[in-house]
This record gives sequence, C-alpha cells and structure tokens, in this order.
Amino acid sequence: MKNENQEIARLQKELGDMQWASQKTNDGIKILYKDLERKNEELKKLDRLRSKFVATVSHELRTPLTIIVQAIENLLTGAFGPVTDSQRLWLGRINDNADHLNGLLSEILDLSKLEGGQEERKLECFDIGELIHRSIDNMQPLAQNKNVALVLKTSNKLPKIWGSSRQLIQVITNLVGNALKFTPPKGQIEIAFENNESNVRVSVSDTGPGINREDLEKIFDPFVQSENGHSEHGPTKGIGLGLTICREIMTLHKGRIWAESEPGRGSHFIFEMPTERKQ
Amino acid sequence: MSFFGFGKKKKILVVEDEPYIAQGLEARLQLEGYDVITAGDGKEGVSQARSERPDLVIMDLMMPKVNGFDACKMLKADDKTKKIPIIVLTAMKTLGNTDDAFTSGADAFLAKPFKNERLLEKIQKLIDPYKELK
Repeated sequence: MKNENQEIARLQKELGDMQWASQKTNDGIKILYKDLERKNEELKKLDRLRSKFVATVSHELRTPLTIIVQAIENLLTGAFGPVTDSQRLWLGRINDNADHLNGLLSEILDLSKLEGGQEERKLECFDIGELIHRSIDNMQPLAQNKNVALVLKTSNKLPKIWGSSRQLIQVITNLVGNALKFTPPKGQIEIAFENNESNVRVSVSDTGPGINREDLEKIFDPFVQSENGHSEHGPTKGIGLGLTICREIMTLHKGRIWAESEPGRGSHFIFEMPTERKQ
Repeated sequence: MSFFGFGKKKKILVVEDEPYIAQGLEARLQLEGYDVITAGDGKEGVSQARSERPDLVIMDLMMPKVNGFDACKMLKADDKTKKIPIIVLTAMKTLGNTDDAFTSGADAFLAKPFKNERLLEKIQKLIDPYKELK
C-alpha cells in the first residue's frame, strides 16, 4: 500500500512537472506567435512603404520630366519663337537624354515592382506566336532605321500559353531592343521559336560583337553590361536592368532564360517556359 | 462662324494642376489651331466643362480637390457633358491605372512624359468632325 502511494505521488509529481513544462512550452509558443505576428506586421508595413515609394518616385520624377520633354518639343516646333540650328542641335540632345532618363526610370520602377511582387499580373491564355509577330512588327521601323534585318523564323504554329502577355511582350521587346543596340548596320536579327509537348522556346540571335564567356551569366545580374557592350555610336546607353527584368519575368512564368555567345560570332538569347498553367 | 460649325476652332479644356504642363500644352495646342481653356483641379475642371462645353477634355489624374478619376466619372454621369471625349494623362504608369482610367469613363489614355505628336494624334481621332460619317 505504501509503495503504491509512493508510486502515485511520484506519478503525480511527474504529471505536475509535465504540466508545468507544457505550460512553459505553451507560453513559449505564444511568445513566438506574438513575435511572428509582429514581424509579419512589420513586413506588411515595409511592403506598403515600398509600394508607396514606387508610386511616389514614379509620380514625382515623371512630372518634371514631362515639363522638360514638353518644353523642348514646344521650343523645337517654334511655339516660343524661331530657333537657330545650333540651338536645335542642343535641344535635340537634351530631348534624347530626357528620353533616356525616362527609359531608365521605367526600368528601375519595373524591377522594383517585380521584386516586390507588386506587379499587377493579368494572367490569360494567349497565342505566343501571334504575340511575337506583333512585337516584331512594332519594332520593324526601329530596325529599318538602323539598317538591320529583323527576321522571324517559324517552324510550326505555337500552342497557346498561360501567362501575362504584357510581361511576355516586355521580354521580347527587351531582347530584340538589346540585339538592335548591339548589331551593326547591315546585320541581322533572327527570332525563332519552337515547342515540344510541355515547353515553348524562343530565341533571339544577332550578328553583333558577341559576349565574353565569363560574362554570359553575369549580364542577367542588375547593373551589369557586357565588356563588349559597345554599339556603333559608343557605349550603349542603359542601366543594365533589362535582362534582370527578363529573368524575373521568366521566373514568374516558371521558365528560364540564358545566353549563348562567342565574341565575334553574335549572341543568342533563349527563353523557355511551360505551355501549361503552373503558376 | 461657318455652316454646321465646320471650320470653327475646336475648344479643348486642359485640366492639370501642374502649371508648367498646362502652359506647355496650351502653347502647343494653340499652335495647332485649337482654342484652349485650363483648369487647375478636378473640381474646377468639371465646372468649366459644364459651362464651356469644350469639344474635348485633357485630364490629369493626380490632382487636388477632385482627382481625375472622379472628375471623369462626374463628366460621364452628366447628360450635358457625357459625350465630350476625355484623354487621361498620368505619371503613374501601371496597368491597373489604365484600367481604372477607362472604367471611370476616359476615352483615351497617355502616360507621362508623352510626346506631343502622340497626344495630337489622339485628339484628332476623338474630335475629327467627319468621324460620324466614316
């Protein structure tokens, strides 16, 4: 009997200890949970701040740019009186640089939105072949200005794919735009696409200076340009975010993008993404 | 004034809170032969549109008092002004923004900074006097 009582007392103590430990664990979990909630709120706050920052920067920088661009255009059209040839030349230079600044601003904001997951993506099922045709058509005048042939090589009809057509247009426009920057006059840019059961693959190949092997990976990192990145008119303008944006967009589409090149033999930019909805 | 109003100068209302943009637009549009009136915020824009009945409105979005979205909605909800085409200008270039502008009744959309040529093309399309006959 005594032994049994001792055993009960021991078990009761053990139970008490366990309850105490459990209480402690519960308290610990509660503290951790509160901590997580607080951190989550902080992250949400940061996200809102980032969102507000992008919107404010976008508005605050574009407004003065609009005034500059408009004033130059008005001066060039003679709305404020006659302009001399040398004034016209300089106004043209200011105009080009204002355009350039606007391009950079768009790149920075696009990337910031993509990385913050704030890019509003309208997902739809669309014909990527048709989208490529349309994008190329839009860029033909630019290519003709540079005396570069823009050739579309198609093998078969591509399937419809799921994704954001706006973002895909951006990828194609960035790749062809880059190729146009680096391809000398009388050169050629070839856009080809193909598909298998599960993927579509699009390539943009140019007859530009090519890219050093050690730069092939790096050029997709932000603010990096290839050592060979010199166009006919000196170093090409750009902040080096175009390819980073392309890579972000491909990641969002569960696809990938890479470059193949040898100096002096042109460059090939290839992206591949699934045809079925995986996002 | 010519018969049926053909040849009469078209009147454009510019609703923009940034005075230099408003003045720049005014100078260019006058050069193109348009009559231009301006308003510095959405509230003034709506009242000018009601009293002046312009042929077209160019509307900024981010403005004090009444913003461009609301001003568009007010103009499109009013029988006197609902047929006046509106071109929305905005410095907030996002897809959602464009959609919002169209749902608030805008007829065309242009992101800042814009080329005057692009704006003039849009104006011509929207107030072409022969549009009804084509």
